[in-house]
Amino acid sequence: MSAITLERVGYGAVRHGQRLQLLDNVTFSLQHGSRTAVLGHAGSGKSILLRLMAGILRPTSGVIELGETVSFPIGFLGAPGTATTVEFVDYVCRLYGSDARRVIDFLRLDIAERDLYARPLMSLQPEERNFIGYVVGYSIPFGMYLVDRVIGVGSPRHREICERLFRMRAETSGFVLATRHVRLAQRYCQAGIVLENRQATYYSDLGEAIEVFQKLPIPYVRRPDSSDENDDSGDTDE
Amino acid sequence: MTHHSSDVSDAVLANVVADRSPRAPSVMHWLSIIGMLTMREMHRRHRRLKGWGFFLLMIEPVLAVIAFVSIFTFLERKPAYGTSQFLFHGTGVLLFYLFMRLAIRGKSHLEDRSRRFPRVNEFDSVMASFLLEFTVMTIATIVFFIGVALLDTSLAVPWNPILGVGIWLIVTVLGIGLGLANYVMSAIVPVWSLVLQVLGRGLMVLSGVFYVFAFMPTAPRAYLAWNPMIHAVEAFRATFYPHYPDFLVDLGYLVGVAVAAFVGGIVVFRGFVISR
Repeated sequence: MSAITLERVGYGAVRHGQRLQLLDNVTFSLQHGSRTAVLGHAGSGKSILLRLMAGILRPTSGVIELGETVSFPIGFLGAPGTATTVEFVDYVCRLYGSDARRVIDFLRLDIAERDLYARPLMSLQPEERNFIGYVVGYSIPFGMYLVDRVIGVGSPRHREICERLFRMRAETSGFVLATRHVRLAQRYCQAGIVLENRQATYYSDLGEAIEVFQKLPIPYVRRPDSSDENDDSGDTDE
Repeated sequence: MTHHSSDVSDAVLANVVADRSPRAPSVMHWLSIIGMLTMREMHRRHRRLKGWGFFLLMIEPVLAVIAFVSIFTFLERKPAYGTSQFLFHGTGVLLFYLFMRLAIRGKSHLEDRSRRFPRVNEFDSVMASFLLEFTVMTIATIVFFIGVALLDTSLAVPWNPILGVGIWLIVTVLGIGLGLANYVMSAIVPVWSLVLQVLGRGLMVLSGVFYVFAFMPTAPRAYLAWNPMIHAVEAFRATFYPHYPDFLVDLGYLVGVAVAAFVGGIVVFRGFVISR
């Protein structure tokens, strides 16, 4: 059995009182340990696709079968409410049966003790909070990691830490990396899925996927091509 | 790949990802998740009180018993059966509170699916809130009866504890069944939770909390007998008072309604969760 199989998956939602079909008839399957990029422009449904695979969203049609432990999109925080960072880390790690102490010991190197133990996670700087989310995500063992847009967040130092954690995980696990930055996909992935017009096409060869992706018209306003793959400003796949 | 600008060594990072094998879902792990969600639910209810939330949840039903006892004492009325105000009203109010707390939730507070870690499903969250109510009510009741046994009457130690526990559990099953259905109803019709609050208060009067079913005139009896809670309250009392007039109690009916409500509740809840 494949790690992730999507069979004629569709997803629709009501936005601003209008029913929108965001994904339609998506079919592909990913093998254990595969490294796949999901390529699509802003608004093409990359995040939706990842959330569907993670089980955070439920497809409105079709079936998703998992033959592997699949992560939540790394960096996902859920609804931490007023939980402190330590409570949050403890909660997530216990949900997935992993050891929270490793994460907390590590975060203590970087983040003031008072911020970890006494302040709600949501009151920290967004950069710091998201970094914590990424470290927690990578600390939990999964057979397949779902990474949305960026591999790491925060200061350059924090981003580098995230990237190294990601690479350590990628040695033994597969991943799906959703991005619109070709260079990022080229650096890490072997296969590609191109999202366009609510449809997804799977290419076992990343080069082929990139070729198709680069020929796609860029929707909405054409942005200056950013060379920084960690730039996710203006990306509105929410 | 090997060049790092930061000062964090590979060994430190390797320790973060040292856990290598994903945890397969198991019953033990599921139970620990339920336990954790239960604690979380408790903190959510009384955010400002930290660890005192549990205490507050426990004290409320006991205060309700004391309030009823005070009213009846003030009115200089004897309890409808026996001599102890605390025992007679305690047996009724606490069992009814167990039912109410399980069956009637103030508001459906299921977390939005898109804001929940996928490991937690709807069923786990409601089970956790049921477990919290059950635990709180069970401990509060045991403490209450120990208190009454020490201070008031030795009758507070049930002569038929097994049946007493059995009825406690049947009411739990009944309450969970209706609670699941009500979760769905209040999610579909927001006013429903308000209607339930009113209905719940009314039901208390119809459940024999303040009187003895067998001492009622025959006319209302036939209607009241349809209320499963009246059977539960009467049967529960009979496990404390050895000569309690419980000849009208139909345990088969109570169990039947409880099981039907439980199965119905799960079916409705499942259907709702899938359709969402």
